[in-house]
Amino acid sequence: MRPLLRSLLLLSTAALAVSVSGAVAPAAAADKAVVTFLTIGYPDKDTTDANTGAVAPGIDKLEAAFEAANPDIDLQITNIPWGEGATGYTPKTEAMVQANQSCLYEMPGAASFAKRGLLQNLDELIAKDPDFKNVWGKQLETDKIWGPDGQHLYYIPDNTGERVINWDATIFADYGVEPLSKNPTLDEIMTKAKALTGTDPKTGKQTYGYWYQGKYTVWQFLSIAHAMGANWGSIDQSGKMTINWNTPEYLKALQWLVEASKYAPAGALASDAMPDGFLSDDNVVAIIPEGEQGYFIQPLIANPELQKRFRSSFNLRGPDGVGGVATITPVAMAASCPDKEAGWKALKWLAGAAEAEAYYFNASGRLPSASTGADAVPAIAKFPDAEVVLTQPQFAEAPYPWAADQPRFALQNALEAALAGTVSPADALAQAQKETEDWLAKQPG
Amino acid sequence: MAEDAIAMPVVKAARRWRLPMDWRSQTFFGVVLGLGALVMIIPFWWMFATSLSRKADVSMPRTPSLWPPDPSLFNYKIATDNLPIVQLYFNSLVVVGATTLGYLFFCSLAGYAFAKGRFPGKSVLFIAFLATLFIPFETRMIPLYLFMSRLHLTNTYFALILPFLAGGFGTFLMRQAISSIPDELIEAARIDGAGEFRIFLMIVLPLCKATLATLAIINIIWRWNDVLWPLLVTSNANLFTVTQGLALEGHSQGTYTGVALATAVLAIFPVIIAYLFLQRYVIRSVVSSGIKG
Amino acid sequence: MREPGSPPIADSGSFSRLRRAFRGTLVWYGFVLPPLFLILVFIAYPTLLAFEQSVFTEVPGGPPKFAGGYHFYRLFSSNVFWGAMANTVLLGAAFMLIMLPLSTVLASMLNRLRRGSTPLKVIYFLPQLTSSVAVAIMFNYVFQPDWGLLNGFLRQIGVSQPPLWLADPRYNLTGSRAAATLLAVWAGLGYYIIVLLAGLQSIQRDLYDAAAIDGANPLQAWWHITLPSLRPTFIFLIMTGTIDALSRFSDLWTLGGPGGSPARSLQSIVMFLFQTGFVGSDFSLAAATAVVFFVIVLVVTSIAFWGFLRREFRAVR
Repeated sequence: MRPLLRSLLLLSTAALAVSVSGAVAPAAAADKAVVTFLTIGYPDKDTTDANTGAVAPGIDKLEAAFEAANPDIDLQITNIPWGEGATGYTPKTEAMVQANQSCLYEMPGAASFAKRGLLQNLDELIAKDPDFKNVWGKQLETDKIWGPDGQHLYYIPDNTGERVINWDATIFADYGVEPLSKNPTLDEIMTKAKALTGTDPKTGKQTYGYWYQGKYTVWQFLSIAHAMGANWGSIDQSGKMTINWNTPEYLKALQWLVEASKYAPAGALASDAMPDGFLSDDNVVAIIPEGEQGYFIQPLIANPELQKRFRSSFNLRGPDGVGGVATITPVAMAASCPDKEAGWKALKWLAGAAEAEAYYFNASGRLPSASTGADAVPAIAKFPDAEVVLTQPQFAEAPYPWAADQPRFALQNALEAALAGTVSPADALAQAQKETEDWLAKQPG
Repeated sequence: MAEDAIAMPVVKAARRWRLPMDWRSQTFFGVVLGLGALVMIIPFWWMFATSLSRKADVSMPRTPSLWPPDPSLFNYKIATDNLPIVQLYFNSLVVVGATTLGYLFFCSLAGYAFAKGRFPGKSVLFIAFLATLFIPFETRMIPLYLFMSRLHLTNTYFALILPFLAGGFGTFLMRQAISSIPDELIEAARIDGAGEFRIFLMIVLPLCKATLATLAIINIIWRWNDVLWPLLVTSNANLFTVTQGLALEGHSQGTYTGVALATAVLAIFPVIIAYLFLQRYVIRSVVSSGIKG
Repeated sequence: MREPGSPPIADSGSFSRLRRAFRGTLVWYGFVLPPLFLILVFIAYPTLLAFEQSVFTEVPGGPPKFAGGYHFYRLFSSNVFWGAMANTVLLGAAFMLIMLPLSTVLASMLNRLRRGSTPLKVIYFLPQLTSSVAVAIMFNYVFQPDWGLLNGFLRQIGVSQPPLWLADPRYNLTGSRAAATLLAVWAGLGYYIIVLLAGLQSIQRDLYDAAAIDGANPLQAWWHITLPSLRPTFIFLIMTGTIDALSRFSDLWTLGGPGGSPARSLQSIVMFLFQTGFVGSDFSLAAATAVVFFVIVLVVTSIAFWGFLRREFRAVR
């Protein structure tokens, strides 16, 4: 017992000693305005990428670039990981908003924070700002969301992701199947997925024609359905939503997806990412929809050989010319931000400056959301599918206002049940519709 | 002395009784436990083997193999290059050490009262202690964060230590252990004029070594593996714990399997050492416990 | 029993009564109060703040509005909630029914093993020492039906249609619930064993000696002495294990994602709580869930306490 006690005592004494010294807050220069910013998922410091060997710049580089451009503002960044489950970014965001600890936030869940009246209406700041220059184009219109008193601009995207359709040119060639077109139709995908499932004539390996990210199938399903003419519903002037999952278009889309899933590995239903072996010689899946920028852009830049094998086509589009989930990263300002003038200046730079756009791309492969960022990504221009990769973000649907709420989980659950074969597609959609209406009817306020 | 003399034949009888069954039962136990251990260790071994494979970062082996085709320390190099590993270990050591010491002390304190004390409100208080287990931490973490923030304790070691100094789990475990100490022992000490706190320190705690060491191991593991609270309450990289550092080594999408497993292997060793160290107390106490009048 | 050197006191009668009362009763409060204080400040207070939200509705830009039982009505009329509840109980019961007998047998064997028990204990304990992130990575791959480790092994030994594991939401022994239970048993076994070992080692030797004299064989001794003597440990494990099983969350989330995929087969009550609160920002509904969860566990525990511990609590001294 004694040595145990002694060593524990020693540790706790050390703890107390260090905790006193650790409690020093970063001091701000007296003559500078302080702006705090919560970012998600960038490297804390320069980090070597295990796949490409390239060095991703740490978040301190963004801070340094900002302060070089804005000598009168002291930017203090808190960077947190995307995380998983309980350790995800949402609790930290919620805690910091409630404790008024940050002025600016990268905020994927901005819609609900705006509805709760916790965000600053940026339209007001734009109206007061004579120097304001719109470098984000029509996004400032499409990204308007509902606050407590109507629809306003509550965030500006600082960067964006995208969803393309990745495909493996080698598997296509092995089977002698025509390459996937730049704008594939649903019929083309189904036909080729079927043709590419089986034993590879060259390698003898089992290959699969199709893939879906099981736990996030809902996004893929929505773009399939939208391409068949389905629309999720609408939202009225007061912010009240009407959602229709149980329509003939959605039913047709679900039947299509269930059919296509036969050409995917059985484990796709339990997956939450790309198939294992993607971007390597071991890849066995031919068509991989919902290819996210973070998975393929940086590795393809680092290894140009792969650009010939792993190709990209545009995501599906509906009759209105758009399709697929919007994957922008919104930057919002807390309603409680103590120095809104400095905060607004910082927000404009962080979402619109060429240096900032370049940082997001170099650090995590996020694409520019502002026109100033076009020069930030010259490496993509060399891709065989450069046009697809660079312009796909312009064709995303407007953000779904229910993206984090029960309607999404109701639909996702229905898709999984139908894909697993435990419920028929029609029953699954009816169930999702019932759950969604139930939720809509019982919204507080 | 006289008692010892009487006890001798009993011990001998017991030994005789064990002998004939011995080799058969020992072999049987060994085989069963060995098979179980194999099942336990295969996933773990596979984790270690995969952490040595550079290729695992993009593509996993399709057939089970217990040694990577391309063994290298690449993933370990990446992991240590990217993380301030010494600082992380130090922080974890401070937090885990302080919480464990406090947790053992305060839980045994309450456990003793609930096992051997008699006072009004005992049952209700005990259920109140237990009730701390009924609330998932996720429920109260935001109010707790706001409370810490009001005390200006966010981003300090205190925030990582204070909330975990007492709890129903440890109190319950200690109560169960202390309640199996014979009352006569404690009564004898009282007659000798020892105060309750002295009895607690000199008699009760030494007799509970096995359970104390067990509780220490459990608490060390909880605190070592906790990411939820450290991520919430600290954002100063100088205060990050090992597990938190691993969680932060995220990418915008996906994780590199090889590197993630290599960092997990790096994180595991200090806990194994702590476990082996405390485990000796669990064993030694077998020899020393029991009543020596 | 006046100690030498204690000062003379005027009213020695009432003082000694007080002192006896102190020694008999009040001193125990001295033991309970310091930990109680810590619990009140760092656990009870934040919890009450969280519970408070269950009877209020957040109003944008203003003080919260009193909502009475409205959020509880929303909760009880939600099928998703009841589904999560049933699933939690099912997963918890399966876990406890496998874990308790298995860990008791293994711990008893480990306790009797003369040689090599230390490395074995370390091996059984390894999963506990491993970070949950790594465990999740490993098992998502182990259970991958097309190219995972487990099915790769099954194919090698000749199984042509290996199970779908995490991709199968049906109620069966090779689906997602079974995979999650296997993982939980694998991960938790070391913990149950170590607690049982501590309990086994506090059993007094003379009990066995007496049994030997009575001519009991080792199996009889195990059944009639070891198991009954483990009663305090079993009570502890059943009570805390049930609470743990009811509050399962992070491992299910890492296997099943935010929706308890596939088809909510891995959804638990705490997952529902987390999803409504932190994903859906419906903190009032999440708080109502927490209150309901608290009440359920309180009732279960009180019954267990009444059944298992009440007599022990009275019998002391």
